[in-house]
Amino acid sequence: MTVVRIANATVEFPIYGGSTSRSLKKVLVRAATGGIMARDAEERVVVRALDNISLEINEGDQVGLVGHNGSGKSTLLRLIAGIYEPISGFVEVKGKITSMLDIFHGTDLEATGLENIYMRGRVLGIHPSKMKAIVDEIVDFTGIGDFMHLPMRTYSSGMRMRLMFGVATCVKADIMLMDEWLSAGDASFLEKAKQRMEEMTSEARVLILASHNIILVKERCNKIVYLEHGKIVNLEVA
Amino acid sequence: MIAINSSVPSRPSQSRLAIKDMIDGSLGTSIWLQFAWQDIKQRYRRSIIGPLWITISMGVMVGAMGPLYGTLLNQPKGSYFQYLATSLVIWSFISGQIVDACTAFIAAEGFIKEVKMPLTVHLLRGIVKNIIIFGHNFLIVALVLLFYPPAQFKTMLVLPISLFLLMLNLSWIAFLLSTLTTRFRDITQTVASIMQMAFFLTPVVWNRNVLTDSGWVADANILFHYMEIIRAPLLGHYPPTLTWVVVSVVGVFGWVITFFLFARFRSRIPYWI
Repeated sequence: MTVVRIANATVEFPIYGGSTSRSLKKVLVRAATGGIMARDAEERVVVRALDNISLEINEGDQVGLVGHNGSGKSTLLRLIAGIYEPISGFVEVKGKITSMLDIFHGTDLEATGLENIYMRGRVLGIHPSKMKAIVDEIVDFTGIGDFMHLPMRTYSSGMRMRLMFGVATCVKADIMLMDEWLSAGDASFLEKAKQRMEEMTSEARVLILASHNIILVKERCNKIVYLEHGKIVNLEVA
Repeated sequence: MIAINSSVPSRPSQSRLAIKDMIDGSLGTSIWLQFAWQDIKQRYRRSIIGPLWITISMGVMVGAMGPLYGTLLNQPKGSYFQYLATSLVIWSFISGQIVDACTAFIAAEGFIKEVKMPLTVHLLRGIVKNIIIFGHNFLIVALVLLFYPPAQFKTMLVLPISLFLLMLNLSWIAFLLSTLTTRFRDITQTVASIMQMAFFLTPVVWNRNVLTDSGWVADANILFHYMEIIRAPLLGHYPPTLTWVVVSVVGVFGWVITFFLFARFRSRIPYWI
């Protein structure tokens, strides 16, 4: 069964700032002066992050997205997550998505670890009545202990990593999207994290993982998508 | 490379997606309530008296401005105190809503770029936050009205309708401004300075009555009607018919225009951030 279907999807980012600043005045002046300045509108700088992408992902697939910086891996994940709607083509997804794109996005450093867990839980769509059990599990998994009640700004980067990783991996989802994120944390935690990821991904129907690390991708994915300049240049099916 | 099933699913219309965003967003009460509460806690995290700061600073302002401006404007002390306290509290609510709406999406960048969530959630967060602050400040109005009671209390029965109409307006303003400011960042500064100027041009500190022949200066100002629809019932009057009409009509038309704009540009907002 096809879970994710992308057909001829293109994503373009308008770039504002610099010479084409996002100023109201410029648009008004352009509207008022017509002709000459209007060309400015056409010459607007656009970055085509994904160019006519087509991809089908089926039940049980573990997909790896591989490519250089700026090749479109993260954008493709965001496209699947529904954050960016394509300017042409379409994306169709069946099932509940959990995205772990940048796990530090949206954390509030002034709030305590516990508050951040609750906030994140709400955002991920966990019912408040189920949070209690999840919180206990996360506290246990991260081993942060009493630091849970202190503001997150007092945490070391490793502790932040643990906490956010714990939160991110507490939801069971049909489709999991992950962006290169296993970077901080000490060796013992890395081992623990790997194990937890293993458990999680084995339960997910579909895993889509973006990474520079071809070795990691090769050992866990059955489909590898090679991206270059926003295009799929190769697709390996194991 | 890969065989693609050629059937293209029909794309839902942008208006339908916009309505879905608003409905799903509004139904996610636990998210925006939690966010709003977090914002309030955040402001007073390292202070001892906590959220009471809001009330105290507003109270000091009323207490300090009351005698001075009452004398300057030749107003009887008791009724001017009533007027000033309610005015300042309502004004800070309205202007807070408008100014905050400008940064609603920009401030939520982290969430918008990471998780698919209705955009409406980020607006409701700000709206609820300002309602909570208004609740704090309202203590001052209650206190002042206790010492200087208005001529009658039964006018307060229209307050639910007044509040509904005011929120109808403030919500379209929030959708409109948040969408526009995400694209045109300088609107935020423009709105902030307009609101600062409007504080002096709108009957907040001074009363519309002092205008005698030139009452149109106030009547032509939509912010005056937003104020009056709440202030009049608190002070024992019914809002004038003109105010009811203006606030209702602007509320409906504002929403119609805003809806089209939001439906048209909703999907672009994550790109603009």
